[in-house]
Amino acid sequence: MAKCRHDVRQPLLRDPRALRFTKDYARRSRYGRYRSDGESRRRNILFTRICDREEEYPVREMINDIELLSYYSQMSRLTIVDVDRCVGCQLCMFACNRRFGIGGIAKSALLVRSAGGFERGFVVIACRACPDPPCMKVCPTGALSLRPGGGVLLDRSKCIGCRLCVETCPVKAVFWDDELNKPNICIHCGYCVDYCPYEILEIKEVEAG
Amino acid sequence: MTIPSKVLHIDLSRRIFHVDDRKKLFERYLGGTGVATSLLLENCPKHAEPLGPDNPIIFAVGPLTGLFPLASKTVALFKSPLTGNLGESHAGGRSAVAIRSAGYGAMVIKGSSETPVYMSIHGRDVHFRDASGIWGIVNAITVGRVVRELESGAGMRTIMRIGGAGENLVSYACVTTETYRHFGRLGLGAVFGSKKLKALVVSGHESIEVEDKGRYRELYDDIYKAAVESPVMKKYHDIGTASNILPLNELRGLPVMNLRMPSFQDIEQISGEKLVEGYLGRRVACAHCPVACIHIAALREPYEREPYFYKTSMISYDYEPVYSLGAMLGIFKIEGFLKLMDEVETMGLDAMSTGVALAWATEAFEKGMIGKEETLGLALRWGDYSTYIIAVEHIARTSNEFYEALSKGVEHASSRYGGKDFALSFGSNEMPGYHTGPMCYVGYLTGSRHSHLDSAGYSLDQKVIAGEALPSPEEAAEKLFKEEAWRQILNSLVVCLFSRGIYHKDVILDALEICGVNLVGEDLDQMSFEIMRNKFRFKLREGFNTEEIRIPHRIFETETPLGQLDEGYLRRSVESFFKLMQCKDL
Repeated sequence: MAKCRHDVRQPLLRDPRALRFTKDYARRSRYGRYRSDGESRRRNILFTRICDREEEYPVREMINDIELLSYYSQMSRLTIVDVDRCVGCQLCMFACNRRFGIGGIAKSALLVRSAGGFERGFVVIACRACPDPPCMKVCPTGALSLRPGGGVLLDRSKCIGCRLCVETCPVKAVFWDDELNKPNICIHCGYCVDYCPYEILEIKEVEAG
Repeated sequence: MTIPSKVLHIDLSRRIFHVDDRKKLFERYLGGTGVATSLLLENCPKHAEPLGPDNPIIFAVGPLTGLFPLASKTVALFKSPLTGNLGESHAGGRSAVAIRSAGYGAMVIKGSSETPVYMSIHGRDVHFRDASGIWGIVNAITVGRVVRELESGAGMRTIMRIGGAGENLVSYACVTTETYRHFGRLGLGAVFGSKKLKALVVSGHESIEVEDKGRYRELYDDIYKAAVESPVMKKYHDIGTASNILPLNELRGLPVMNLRMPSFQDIEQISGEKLVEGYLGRRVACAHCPVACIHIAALREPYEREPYFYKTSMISYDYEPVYSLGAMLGIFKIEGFLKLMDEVETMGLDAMSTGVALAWATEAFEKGMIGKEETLGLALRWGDYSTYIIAVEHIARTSNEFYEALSKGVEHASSRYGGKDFALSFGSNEMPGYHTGPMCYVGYLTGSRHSHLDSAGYSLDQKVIAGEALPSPEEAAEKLFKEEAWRQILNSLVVCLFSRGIYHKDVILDALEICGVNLVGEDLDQMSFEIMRNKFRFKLREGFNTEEIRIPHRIFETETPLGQLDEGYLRRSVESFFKLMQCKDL
């Protein structure tokens, strides 16, 4: 398995398919959410292309690649529109895992839990895309860097798995991947948005400045 | 790991556990009911006492759990204290995804603890926790609230627990999960209670790998799209299962007041539409289900002694509880049956069996077979929900000899106090809310768990009502047999039966391929018959007698939409069903 140890951005940017992807992505973030099937399918195929290059990219790098994509949607932000409509199906969490082509909810970067029992409704916990993220400030190794649209990007190769980011986040939106022993960080890619049947999630553009 | 294979064995008597890898078993039967049936045959000694330490509790999930939408059910198998035979009950909530994420395909719980315990399973961490401080909390919702604070894994866990009825070994006590979902039928709650097991928490953080990531996403999108665009699913989301009340009443197939009538004139008062318009407070979904069929009513009531002070109760309702705790008891007032449902939920009882038991008791009371001495002063009367609420508490607490008998089901109570003719149980299980024609009853009599969900005879009846010719008893048996066999596959996967229109054979084969299981259509057919026969083998071993089938006379007295039932038709059909079951090649 050939590992790609240098800047993982390079091979991706040189790949014409990836470039097309980034354009598609940028357009999407500019115009907000879309639901047309063709678009979803195309995006899906692109996700697949990147994720399926597993032989060239071991899991960690693969995940880094996906995080890179957020550079091209950097001025967008995941927002929760109306949590009272949430039915607690967690389809967003499953979608978040499916970005990596896997099932379950272990790698989810957002969480839907009850507000103290199903009788009380639900809480959707997602990264707020802070402009001055507390998680970044406590990271002892500089593995978290500021994402232009707010929030952070994770460099897995620097992360030592100390969990300070998890403890620090005031809204508890940094989750933990027990299998890799690294945090699950939301990159505001919006993949989950298309799978919320009740339109609770939305990708919004962040105003510059 | 593409298909689940790990089985967690827990021994409550010795407080030990171990994990087995049963890859071959899962490859052979996929998961769910197929695997659980084999595990039951392995782990349940012949003629085990249902409430004794030897009776195992088996939970199983399937290969699609956590991967595809609507694969959100857990199958529980055990020996039922209600029927003394095969106990099978399914529940959704977050149970299935939690068990799979914890890394297990199945769990086997054996033995019985001397002191109350609850189990805390977080992936590979398995703990026996002291529950003596929560034993005796009768309210199943409160138990959940307590355990929730004690355990980690919010949003990723399931909390199964029992209420007072389970502790007191009521034969139809349920196990509640996520407040509103239940392993409702056949008394799993009592089996928990007999093991002094108050609750079971499961959570985990394991991912599920697939064979082909791209194909996985594509198939996922197809299934997801089918689910959100299907009109059936829309119906279950909008009005919920309660949308069946009006049509069944119109057909004259809704059992009313212990099936003395097949419909009620002013049914509009309690229709699904009325419930949604006036009371719907929230819709809830099982994990990984876009439909959200769980409907919760918000009931706002004033406190009697305090002016301007109200309490709002969130009460889950469905078609079946509206039938059993509403129509069956003559309660045609929404507030009335909601309060009764709340009491049943709190105590941790199966809504269907409780309703049918109370309906039998009301008629027996009317006929003078039982009196106030037996009922502890309660005058049971159709529609009198306040009295029924007190009676429910008596059942859950098994307050006296009569309520203890009633807590063992109508089959038992009627053999003690009389009134067998109107004791509406089939194979000792209280009847579901369909009086649509002969085939639903053949289904209740022959189904492995004596439930309407075994072979959906009501749906065959409805086809005849819609204009198809009535099949001969033999044809009816064959249709029911095929349907029940096919459902073994759905219940092994384990997908919600509401999605049976989406998960047809080709979709299932594609989905299994993504999990690394390569099968063809005939393999599934073969497997389905094998699973069904395994169940039948267990039933025969535990004393099920195909010759001694009791049919309560009441069903012949009340006309169905397909006319008066013919006992000869039913018996012939039942007979040919069991012949098919024993037939070697199919």
